[in-house]
Amino acid sequence: MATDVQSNIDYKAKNAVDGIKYRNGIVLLLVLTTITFIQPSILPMDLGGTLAAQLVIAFIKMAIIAGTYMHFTSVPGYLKAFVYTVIGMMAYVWIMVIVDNQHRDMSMLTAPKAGVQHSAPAHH
Amino acid sequence: MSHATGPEIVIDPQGNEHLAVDFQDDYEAGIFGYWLFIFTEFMMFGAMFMVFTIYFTMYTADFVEMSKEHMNLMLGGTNTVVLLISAYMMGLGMMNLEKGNHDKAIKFIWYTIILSVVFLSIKAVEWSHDIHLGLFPGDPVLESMSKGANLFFGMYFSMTGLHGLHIIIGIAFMYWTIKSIKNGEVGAHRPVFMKNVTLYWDFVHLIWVFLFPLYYMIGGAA
Repeated sequence: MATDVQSNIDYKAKNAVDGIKYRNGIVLLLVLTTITFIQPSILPMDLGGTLAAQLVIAFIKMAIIAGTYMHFTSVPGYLKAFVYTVIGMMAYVWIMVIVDNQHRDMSMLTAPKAGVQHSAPAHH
Repeated sequence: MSHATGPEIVIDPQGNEHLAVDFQDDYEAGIFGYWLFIFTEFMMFGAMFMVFTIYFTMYTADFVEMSKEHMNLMLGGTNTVVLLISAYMMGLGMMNLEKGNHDKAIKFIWYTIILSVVFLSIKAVEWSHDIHLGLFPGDPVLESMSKGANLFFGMYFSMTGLHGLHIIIGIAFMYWTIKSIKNGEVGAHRPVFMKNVTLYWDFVHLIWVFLFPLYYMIGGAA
């Protein structure tokens, strides 16, 4: 039976969990989580800036989790291709919907109802 | 019971043939099946994040106001750290399983379960407080507020609720893993099941990595 190059890779060996790699991963994630908390205090920005900063941190954390804990770097090539395809399709649909949303007249939906108050009942 | 086809033979990277009894005997197929499952999860949560984005762009001021006034940063932040440490514990459990330290692996899975329960308890406190304030969808107090506020809390309860459901399912899977390790179905020789449960837990953690800034941190904008 012919086997391709991918199936000759010893995935168990490649995926063997490395304690030091895990420890480094959690330290990095804790540092990034701390930055997530304190960003509005140490680097106050408007909404766009805050959102961008928070999402950049989240994507870095995602890369660390996927690379270190989910071993994405060592999965077979066809799986990587699947994942990238799914992400690409998702991003395409996402961008189309957002662009459409930005250019569509939503005033009939967003107009405030008569007699509606904005204030909240109480705070935490 | 007779089978129409012959037994399935899998070939390991060294070229040795093995009889495949169930998915755990075919490491690569087991992992592949898990990733297919994750794609469906990714699509489901992805659609919810997309809906959040649309409503956020339509009712930006309301979303920021609700986040600032009602999201408890301390509890949400604590949950972020709890989930992060639980993912680390699960990873250590996997590491020990692959090394053949099954008792240690079980111990680390229990730690993960305990942290998961802590996460759910904190989330329950947050939900209870919000429900007490009348912020649950359908409550007259929330309905008297703006449309943006209604959408914010509708999305908040839907997304964190679905995430919480995944945590509960994860706990059930972890308990199943412990039972399977104890009866010898899962171990260093057959790690696929635990590997997939570990990956599932990492995915649950990954979702929270995005939920937290979108609901809790947008209120911190100047």
